[in-house]
Amino acid sequence: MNVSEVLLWFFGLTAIVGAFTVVMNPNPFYGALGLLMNFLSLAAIYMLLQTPVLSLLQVIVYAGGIVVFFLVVIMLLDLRGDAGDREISIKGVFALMTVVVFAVISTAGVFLYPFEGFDFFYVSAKAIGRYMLTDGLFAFELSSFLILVGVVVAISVIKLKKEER
Amino acid sequence: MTPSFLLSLALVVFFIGLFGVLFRRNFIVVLMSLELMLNAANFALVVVSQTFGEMGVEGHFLVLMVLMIAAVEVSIGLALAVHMYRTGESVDVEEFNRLPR
Repeated sequence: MNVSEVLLWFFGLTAIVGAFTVVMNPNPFYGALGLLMNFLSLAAIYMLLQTPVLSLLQVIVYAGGIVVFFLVVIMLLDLRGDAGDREISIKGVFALMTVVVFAVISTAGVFLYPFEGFDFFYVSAKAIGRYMLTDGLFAFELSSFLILVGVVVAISVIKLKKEER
Repeated sequence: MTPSFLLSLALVVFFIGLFGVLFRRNFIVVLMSLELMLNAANFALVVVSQTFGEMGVEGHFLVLMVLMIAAVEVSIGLALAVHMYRTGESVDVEEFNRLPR
């Protein structure tokens, strides 16, 4: 076991622990911190897979943007009265059953048909930008429209008055 | 380190997120679990692209698109959460069925 495999195991474990914190902690603030832990662990794994562009984007967009967004909204809303998530209900049993069934099926799929030949492509930002402006140009332009629509919808939802709802 | 190991890591994170979406009632936690699922899908895309792709660029482009969609989804979802809290003093998804009459 060389150093990169040890680091891969370590960051994989921290990613799973962060995901568990998001799902299981009753306090959403700690959930957001667990989300940050998961994002940073996946960024480290991207760096180990020799894809540094995605690693940096993961840190900038997810850990720097989305987690801060969640933290701002959690602090904006006073959510102390909403602890009622932990009781065992029929919904929780069905959720667990659904997750277990799908997890067994897909894990069996991964391990029954293993594929080998992992290549470490080094993908530079130049290659991604060239692909984005040649083959993926249409999707790239459409994504700008989607962001515009997202901005308009978010502002109009926020500005709804009480009598308009 | 085989791709199957990395894909199983992505699967574990994805199913933890799916359980959160199905189980939790706090709308903000549901959105965070959705982010976990999208992130696991990103990771699987990168692994498969590094394994099967010609130069690995296609998977990276798809990851960029998913990242953009995640940002838009979070902004609209949190706007909905704020609006829901203003009108109903709660972000419980069980009370999310009060449509305007």
